[in-house]
Amino acid sequence: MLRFENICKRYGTRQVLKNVSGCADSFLRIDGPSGSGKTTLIRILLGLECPDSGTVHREGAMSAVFQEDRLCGYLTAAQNIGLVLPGKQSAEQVRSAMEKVGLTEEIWNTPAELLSGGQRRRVALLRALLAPAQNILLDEPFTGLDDAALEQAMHFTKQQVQNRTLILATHNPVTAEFFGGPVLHLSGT
Amino acid sequence: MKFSRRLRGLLIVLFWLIVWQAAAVLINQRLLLVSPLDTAKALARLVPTRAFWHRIGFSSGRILTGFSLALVVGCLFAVLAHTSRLLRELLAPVMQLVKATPVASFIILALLWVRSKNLSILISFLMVLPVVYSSILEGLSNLDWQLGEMARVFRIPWGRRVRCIWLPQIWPYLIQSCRVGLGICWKSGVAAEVIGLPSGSLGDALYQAKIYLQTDDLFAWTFVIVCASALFERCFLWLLRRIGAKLMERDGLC
Repeated sequence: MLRFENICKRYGTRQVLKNVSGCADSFLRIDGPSGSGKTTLIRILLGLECPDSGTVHREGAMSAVFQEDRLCGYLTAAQNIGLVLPGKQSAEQVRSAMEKVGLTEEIWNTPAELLSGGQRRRVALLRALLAPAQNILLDEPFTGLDDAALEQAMHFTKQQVQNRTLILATHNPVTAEFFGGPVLHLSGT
Repeated sequence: MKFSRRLRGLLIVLFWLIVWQAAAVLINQRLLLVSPLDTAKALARLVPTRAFWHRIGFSSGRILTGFSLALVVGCLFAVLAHTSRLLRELLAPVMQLVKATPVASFIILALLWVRSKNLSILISFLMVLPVVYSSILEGLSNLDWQLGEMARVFRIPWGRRVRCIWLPQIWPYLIQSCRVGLGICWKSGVAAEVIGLPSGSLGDALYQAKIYLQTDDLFAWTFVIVCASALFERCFLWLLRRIGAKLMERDGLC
């Protein structure tokens, strides 16, 4: 569960977030145009940035898909996922998840630096979904995916979240329609 | 492919040996330039003696001690300087001074502080320290902070963070600094011995060959120093790569 109240954030003279509040028990979609503060809010919720004012209540561990993929280029796709899993996770479980989002066996042992943009994005998504976290925060997680891959990735995300909390920041209408609401709209200030 | 590369290397060495031999024949003064053949003869005379191996052991032991100390202290200082801006600013002029001061000045100055026997330890330490320090500090400042944030969010255990995220980024800087440092420590260490003249050292052997005008011995000892430096560099880098592979083991990650 994630709850945030009256979050304000300013960079220099630019007010990015002003009195933003919300609560995510199971799902919250953050909507808004580019530059409206979606990524800033996600970073604040993840504890990577401090708000100028306001409070954030977090319960449970976090996982995320960041605006960038943030994969270790020298680790393989599977190792990047294994990095966030506790102990020796079943390789079979990771492999089966990879297949569900259209990542073939060939990609399994490929270093992340050699993967395409869409493949990297899916590895980052799997890392966030397979991590043992109660709160999953996804910042434009489906960027760079073609229609078929997008469809697979969205279904897999919905199926994998189960009874955890999902916060999804997106301004993609297809993704927005698929996941629905509740919605927190950021208009920028 | 590998064979042809080796053959090519051998042919290049052979070419320069022929050039050297031709120059020696042309000049025809053994005092100024001995031929490769004369150098080989001098080497064949020196190698079976006990003193030859003693000199190699004496010098390499001390030079590599200085190098190892510089490696440990350089890494430690770099990590501390990375975390403390004050320390970084305090160390900057010292490292710059050590880098810019001619090695001969240090050797003469250091002769006042330490016995000539241990001079090469101090000099190779001083010459390698700024190389290791600067390289590791650069590596640390180039670490990918985005991966650091990712590790924080996912609460990746510290051991795994070091092994899988930080070490793979730092290791190339460490290898590069060792490659440069190993060359420098031999050059500066032997230079210190030539000036300090500790008996039983390689530098002392070079000096003796010079004052007795034994140019063939001078060439032979120089050849030995070059070979020892290259051999130690290869062995050390091989060892470092093995250690790196072991430390960055990723078997547990699927």
